[in-house]
Amino acid sequence: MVFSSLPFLYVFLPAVLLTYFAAPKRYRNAVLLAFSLLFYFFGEPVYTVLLLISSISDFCFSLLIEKYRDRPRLAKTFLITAMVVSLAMLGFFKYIDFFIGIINSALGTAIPLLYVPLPIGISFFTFQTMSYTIDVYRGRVHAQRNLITFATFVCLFPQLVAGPIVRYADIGEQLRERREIMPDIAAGIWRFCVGLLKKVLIANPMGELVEIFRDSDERTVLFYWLYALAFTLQLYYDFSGYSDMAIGLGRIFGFKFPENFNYPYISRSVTEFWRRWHMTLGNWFRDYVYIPMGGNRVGRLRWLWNIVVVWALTGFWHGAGWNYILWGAMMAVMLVLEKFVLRRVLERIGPLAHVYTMFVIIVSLVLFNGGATGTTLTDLQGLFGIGVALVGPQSLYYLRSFAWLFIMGIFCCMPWLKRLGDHMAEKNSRFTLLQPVLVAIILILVTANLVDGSFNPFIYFRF
Amino acid sequence: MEKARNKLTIIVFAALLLVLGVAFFIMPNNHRSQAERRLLARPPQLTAQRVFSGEFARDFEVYMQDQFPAREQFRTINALTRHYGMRQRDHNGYYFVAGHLSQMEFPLNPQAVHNNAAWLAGLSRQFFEDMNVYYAIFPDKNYFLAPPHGFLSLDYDAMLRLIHRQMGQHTFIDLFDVMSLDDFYRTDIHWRQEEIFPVAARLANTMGVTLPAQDSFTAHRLYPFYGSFHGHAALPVPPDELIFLTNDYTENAIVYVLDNQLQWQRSAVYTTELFGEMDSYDVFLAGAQALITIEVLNAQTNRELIIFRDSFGSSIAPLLLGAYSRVTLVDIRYIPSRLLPQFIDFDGQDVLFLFSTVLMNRPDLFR
Repeated sequence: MVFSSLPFLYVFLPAVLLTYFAAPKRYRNAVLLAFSLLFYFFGEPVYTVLLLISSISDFCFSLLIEKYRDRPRLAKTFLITAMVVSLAMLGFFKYIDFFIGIINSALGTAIPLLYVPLPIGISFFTFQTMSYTIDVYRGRVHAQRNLITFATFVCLFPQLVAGPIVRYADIGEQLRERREIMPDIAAGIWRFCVGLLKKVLIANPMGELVEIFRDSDERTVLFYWLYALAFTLQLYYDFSGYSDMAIGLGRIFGFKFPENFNYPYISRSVTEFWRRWHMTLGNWFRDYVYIPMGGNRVGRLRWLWNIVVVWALTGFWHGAGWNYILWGAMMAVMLVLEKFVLRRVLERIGPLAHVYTMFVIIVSLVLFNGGATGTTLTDLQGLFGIGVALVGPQSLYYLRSFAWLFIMGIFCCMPWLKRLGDHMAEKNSRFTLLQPVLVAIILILVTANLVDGSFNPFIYFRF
Repeated sequence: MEKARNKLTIIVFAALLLVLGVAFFIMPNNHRSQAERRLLARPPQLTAQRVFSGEFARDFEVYMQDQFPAREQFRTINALTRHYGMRQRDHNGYYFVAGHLSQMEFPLNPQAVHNNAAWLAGLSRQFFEDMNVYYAIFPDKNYFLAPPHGFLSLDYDAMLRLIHRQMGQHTFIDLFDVMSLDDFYRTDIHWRQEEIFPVAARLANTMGVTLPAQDSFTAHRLYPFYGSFHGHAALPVPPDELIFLTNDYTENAIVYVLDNQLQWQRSAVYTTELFGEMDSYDVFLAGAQALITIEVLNAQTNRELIIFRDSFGSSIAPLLLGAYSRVTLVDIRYIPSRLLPQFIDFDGQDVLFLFSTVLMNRPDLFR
């Protein structure tokens, strides 16, 4: 089930809210768990078992780790076993066909591909459970002794399928004790509606343009750039919109999830971009891969190696394809270049640094998305005008048709709107009363879009 | 102030979710959508097998979309948002400009055009060896509407070249220069019967027959006519008026249509009972029919005409009555051509292939 769907908005959400707030406090985790499993079951009936296995596995191994903490080798064995179970699940369901393809290419074998359907959100919940078990091993958190509480953490529907990657350390206390107060509920509703708006009214139309480009037979430089820009905006609004909805829903139920985006497209370097984009993933790799490898407190060569490994893994996390690994490697190269060569230059060139960053990001996202359609090389060539004309009738038409959306999309990427809203609210407190009106307008517009059966994919579900 | 804002935010959100959610469950299901001209989804069947395969979830979402309360109003809100809020030029290919609704037909599908034309040429070789065969391809409304307003449209010249290549041995009747945007309904794909006398005249002149005089017809008006684009585009555009024309020939014509059991059934030139049904344009010769024969007892000649046609043919055929004593209309989308000799005796009639550019651009339509 996705948040931006009629069954979620008008059946699931009212049902879970009514049941949750009607239930006594001590049963609220159980209510959330039951509805979370139902939420996942509605989209992935069979793989719900996988979610339960993942929960139970890490629950048990963490208890064992804590129990045998005074026997470090045994505790480490449990940790490794837990990691193997998690990574084996992830490896099999997400990467098995990719590995079989490599083996077939390298050895000339013809092992048939398995075509295992990818369980929605497996990369997210696997990383969450892994971080929990590692944190228990490191002694940063105590193992949770209540299976329902732990399963609620793993399965919590607001962040289950597309993040943010919430660690147990973030919400362990809240799982035990939290208060659902009116300001938080109202703020959560507002955040949820903003996410809906971003997803349905900006990301989806941008996705339509991406599809139009894919289905079209016109290949011109203008169309390639329209496609690249549309995908860049789609990805941001799709994913950050989902994160907003997740954070908003969490807040309604009394949780404070970590932020995941902080206006990444205002960045003036790729390094800054990655401090603002999918922050919970970046932090996860930093804390559980980069720092354990030595981080930057090692020799220069080893440091470079650490960066390359982390970014290749980051790319690989996004999907089982060479384009994702190449995309990660490209990011690693840019980060290294910025650290050693470009940093001073970027500091001096002012707004041009922003142009440079967006150029790198847009080109990298074409590489990122090309794998899905097997057109990476031609897409990149097209961006730079190799073998294609400059403009054509379709690209000109769609430029005009989507111009307003592009302007809105770019404008809303910037913090200006938020600043304006804050400023107005500061000047006149009655301005804040617009919030309920906007909530109603957003819900009506989003519902209208969904009723009309418009294009509504969720990009990050495939990761 | 903040307290009031928070309270109101929660109340508005909860009220909308609850009211629409409850309304969805208590309101009766609609069987069909008049605006979209389709049957609506019914409640999905709840079985363990369908739940575990994910089918139930998928079907439930479609069912909810189809049966959502105030569905048509929500669709209009969405269309308005796209058209005026986002200033998108089209929504799902439908656009509104110069008072007309239309659907972009783009790009040219050369393979489909080639295949369709080749199919017609093959039909001609098979059945009409020594008969007078004419073909007329007429432009859809995008020909007049799209280019001047910057919308995408077909390459009509290229299309005609492709068709001539297959049909060149027959007489081509050019209708492009006798038509204009005013010939079309504002909310529908079709042409207006009362505006296509020049088209009928061009056909008649080329085929060497004389049409009844224009002033011999009496106009009958039906209102409101919501064309197919109206429902699909969902924009609040005023409806059209449907005018149909009668004269002595249409009044005295004997019409038979071939039903699904391949039996002839008596019908009429105009079936006004169908106005307000799924497609009001069905008033003309009872809408989509595989085979229709119209006998005109008081015709000026004893010449006969076979028209291979699409839906546009239904409204132009009545204008040709009188010039022919018998007109047969064949829609080869609905009847396999091998069956035609069972129902039509091909013997010296004039044969006219009359198709719109929209149809010629669609693949795999002819049977």
